Amino acid sequence: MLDYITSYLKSDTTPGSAGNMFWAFVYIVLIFLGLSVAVIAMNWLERKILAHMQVRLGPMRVGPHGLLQPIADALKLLIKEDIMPAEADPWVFWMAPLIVVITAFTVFIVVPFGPTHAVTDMNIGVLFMLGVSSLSVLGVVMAGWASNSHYPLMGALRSSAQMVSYEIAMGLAVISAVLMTSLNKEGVGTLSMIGIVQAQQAYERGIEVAERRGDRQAANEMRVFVKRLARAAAADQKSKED
Amino acid sequence: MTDRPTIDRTSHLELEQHEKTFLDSNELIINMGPQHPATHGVLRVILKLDGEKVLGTECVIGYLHRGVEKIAEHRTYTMFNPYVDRMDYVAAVSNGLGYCEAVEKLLNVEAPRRAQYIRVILTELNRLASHMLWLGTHALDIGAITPLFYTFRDREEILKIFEKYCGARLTTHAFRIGGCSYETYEGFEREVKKFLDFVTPKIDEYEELLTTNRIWLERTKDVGKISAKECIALGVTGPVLRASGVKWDLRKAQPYAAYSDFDFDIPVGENGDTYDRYIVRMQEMRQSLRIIDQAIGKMPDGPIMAKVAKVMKPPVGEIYHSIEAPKGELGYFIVSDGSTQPYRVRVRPPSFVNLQALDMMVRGALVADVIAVIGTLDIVLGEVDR
Amino acid sequence: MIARLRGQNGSGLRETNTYLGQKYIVADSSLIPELLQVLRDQEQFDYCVDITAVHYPDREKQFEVVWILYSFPHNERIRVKASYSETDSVPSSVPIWPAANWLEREVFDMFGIPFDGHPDLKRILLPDGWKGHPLRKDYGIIQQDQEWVQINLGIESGQ
Repeated sequence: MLDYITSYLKSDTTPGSAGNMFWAFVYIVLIFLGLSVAVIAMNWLERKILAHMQVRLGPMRVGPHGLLQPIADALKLLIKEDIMPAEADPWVFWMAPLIVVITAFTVFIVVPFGPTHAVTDMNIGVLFMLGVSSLSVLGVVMAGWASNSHYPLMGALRSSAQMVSYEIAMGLAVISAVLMTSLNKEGVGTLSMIGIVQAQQAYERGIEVAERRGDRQAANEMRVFVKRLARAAAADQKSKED
Repeated sequence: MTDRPTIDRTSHLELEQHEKTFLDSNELIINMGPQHPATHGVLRVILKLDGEKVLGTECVIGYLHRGVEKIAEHRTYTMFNPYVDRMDYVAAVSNGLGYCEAVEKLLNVEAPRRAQYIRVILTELNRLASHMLWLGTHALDIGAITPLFYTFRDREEILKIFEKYCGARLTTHAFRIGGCSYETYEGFEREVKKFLDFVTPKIDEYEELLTTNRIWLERTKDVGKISAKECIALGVTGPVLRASGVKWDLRKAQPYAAYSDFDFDIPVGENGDTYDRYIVRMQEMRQSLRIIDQAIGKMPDGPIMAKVAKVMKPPVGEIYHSIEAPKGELGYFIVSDGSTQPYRVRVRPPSFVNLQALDMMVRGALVADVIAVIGTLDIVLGEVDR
Repeated sequence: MIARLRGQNGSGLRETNTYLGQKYIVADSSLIPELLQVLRDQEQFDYCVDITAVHYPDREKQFEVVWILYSFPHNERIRVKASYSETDSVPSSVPIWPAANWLEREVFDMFGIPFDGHPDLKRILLPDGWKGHPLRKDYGIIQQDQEWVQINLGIESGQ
């Protein structure tokens, strides 16, 4: 049994490419849980850090230093009544938040957590990411339009304008990473996320070579560049989660 | 609810008339209703929008109208003094100063030097408090949440001084006709000096947060521009006028209550946009600190109340006296008919006249700019509606 | 300046005086629009501080409308007063000073004095359907427009 599991951990393809439904499902559940925990933690952190910056304490009652506050909030929201305005279009109104959340989570299908550990590795991974995350704007506009009232419409338009304006800057940042993937031996770039990670590894090998040759400055520059690439990629994910 | 008559409030706005087609519905009338977190009080603004661009506005006020002027005709001069604080409840001390000085002029009485110095100190402290509140709420409307907490925390120190002096934090009723009724408490000078040392780095902190902040600059530069000529024509006074380039302050132009003894500058802006008004008010805060510093240093001894009859009957006549309140020119026009009650008290509220300028400042701007402009005009609805 | 104005208008100016250091002019109501225009254009009273009114029910011309003006170049304030009866309408100063817009609306609201030529004369502080003009001396201190209160607020009385 243990061998079975470890054999898959050492496999050289992703579950999606191998067509293995069971492991793909396991990965999806793991990602879902991990993301939810991350969101909960970020929520708590945001409230506490903002509060301390604003000379106040933030949540203190629910659990020690408010650690259980996000869970309490989630429970409260789950047991609340779903209000549907009388004039709203019920189906579109109900679908809109679903679309936003589904697109946000779907993006994580292509995000790799190891050299072969993604749910699937499409060779258009980056394109998939950008495309699916743009669909969340649709959800916001649907919510505003379906409410059949001026104020939500204005709010939805402003919100979607904000999200669309983020996408331009985000796309440019991602493209710079994609451009760098063509610096391998064949001179052929790739849009797949694992390919981008491997291209980063090219930098690590390059850094090793530079250190061996005693070229400190080149090694430092490459190290800084790799760090910045990683940070830009992480920032994309966070902005889509929010 | 029975039928209410529908009133077309926007028919007078000169708006572009398209040829009406059935698809032609890109004008949206939105109501920023009386209950709104960003309209400092109960103010209703009806916006006619084209997408996000504002085509015209109309302000509906009167939700806080309490009939203060009518009440004044049924109270004696001293009894009316507490009502005056409730108009501009943020800067209550200034209101009291204006009223007491106006009645003192009618009675041809001058408050003694020590009382005038106490008045100046408290009024300038109140100017600081009012500007701090303005800064906190204005920044909050624009989206910067943190300065609110900082300014309110520092404003607490001022309110503590007021509470120790006259017992009330907000509606202070600090002055009486003829002077001040309370002597400064034991340790007043020490506490005010300590407060001055405490607050100067705080004002630097607010400036550090906002003045060179890229987001603040983008939100406030070139927003709500008003030129000096338009200001004068619309009767706008106070920091709004000074930010448009007119160097005019009633404390220097027509000094009252010992202001001529002190040395302070009048900050003037150039462009007349929201950013300049912000800078002018920050500078005014620093100048207020200067004035308080000088006043504490030079405080004379002596009586604090002039000889005023218990039952005040000013001779028949009228007077108009105005002071530089934190919001603008606050004026009192009092008509006396020789009895103990005034015949007519008219309060010239700076916020009321400044709010007229909102329509002109906001045409062609975006919806978010409307909020910024309402905040920068620094209106208090208690004063607008009285 | 007073001499200049007197010279121009002669008997129209009933009284020009100074009380407690404040200058005021009591003028004929027929003279008002030109007088205000002259004050703004020639005497440079470019800032209309306030427009208000006082109700004297014992006089023949019951309302006394007061314009308080200030001149930035001269640093001087002046009051112009004119009496109007109940049926007269006052010429509006909005073409001269745009600041007069809301100030005159408030005078109309509180006293019922109509202003000729005002672009948008309607009630400003009281609700639109209110009957009565509160700052008149014959309006009681706790009087309210009970009809409006009952229709719009659904309660018996505001008291």
